Amino acid sequence: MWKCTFSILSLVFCLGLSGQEQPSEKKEKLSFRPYEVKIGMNAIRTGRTFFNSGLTTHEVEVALALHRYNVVLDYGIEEHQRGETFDYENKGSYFRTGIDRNFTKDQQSGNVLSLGLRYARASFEDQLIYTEDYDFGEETFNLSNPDLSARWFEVAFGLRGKLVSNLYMGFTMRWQFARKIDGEGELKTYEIPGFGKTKRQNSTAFDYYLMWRVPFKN
Amino acid sequence: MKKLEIILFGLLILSCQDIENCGTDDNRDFIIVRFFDFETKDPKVVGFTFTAENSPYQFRFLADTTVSTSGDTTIVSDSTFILLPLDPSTSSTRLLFDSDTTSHFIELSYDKEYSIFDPACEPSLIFLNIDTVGYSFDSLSIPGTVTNRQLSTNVEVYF
Repeated sequence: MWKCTFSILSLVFCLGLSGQEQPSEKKEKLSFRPYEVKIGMNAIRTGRTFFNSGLTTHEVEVALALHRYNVVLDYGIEEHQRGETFDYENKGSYFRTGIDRNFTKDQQSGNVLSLGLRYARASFEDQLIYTEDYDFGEETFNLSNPDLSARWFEVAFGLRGKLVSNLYMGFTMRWQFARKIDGEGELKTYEIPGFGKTKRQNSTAFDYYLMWRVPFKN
Repeated sequence: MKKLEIILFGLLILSCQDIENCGTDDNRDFIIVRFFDFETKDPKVVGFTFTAENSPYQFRFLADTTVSTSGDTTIVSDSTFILLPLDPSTSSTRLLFDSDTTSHFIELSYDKEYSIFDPACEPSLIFLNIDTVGYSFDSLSIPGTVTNRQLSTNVEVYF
């Protein structure tokens, strides 16, 4: 009986140990320890700077990978001058931050197929100068918003693929929504850095990125 | 995956196309004043010379056509409504209506909003929160407090 009891207890103990081993393996798989970071630039924005004389815009992106998630931070600057019969200038900076779910299973490849959410914020200013006669004689109007801010949210679908070595490229498609602008006066701002034209309450965007992957040693 | 990428890219390019025509801008920088008979409430044909204080011009308005004249007095006798400007350099404008037998005025207050409809078009100006400061007609109402093309009347005058 005691032998049997001992055997049963031994079996239970062993089962218990083996039962504890499985979660410990799972814990290793579910580790949220960062295993790589990708740092890159928005090629479309930089390209537009070279091909559009009235526009200067650049954006960098940092994506920290942990388990199946990427923590993403974008920072950009934009300065845009527009108008044929008037001078309109809009300049400022913006950032986006959020988390993407990476649906690729091979973490070592560095490839990304992701869907995520972003919170974005812009600080900017704009100015409109033009001359017009509204039936009260010709007058020059000089209107400005010196301290504008805006926030919005994004659903982002992204794809990153290895080009060569640790160089990756890919795109992000965004659906931007819940836009809010603060600081507007008599002049309604035409666009928001990082968002686009304010004519639309919601907007879409397409960005192409070149990124350099830095894997961490585990 | 490549097919999906190409389709999504094509859809995105299509969705980003802006087809703007300056004529589709709903903003307008003038008010529409309609005249009615005080007793019957029917539209009333008027014969006034219209001027706005601080404006160097006198105005003649026929339907949707605005003609500004400087120096000459133009009597309008075939309209039940007129299009009138507001002064964007101030927050109120006094509009004067003169005929051989009578003189009236309307003074309106308002806010202004400037915007760009499209870089290829002129900047847009609208007046909003239009309100009455004073008037000499028998009665007046403001059914349209913003100068938008979707509204056919801003001010109704009864006399």
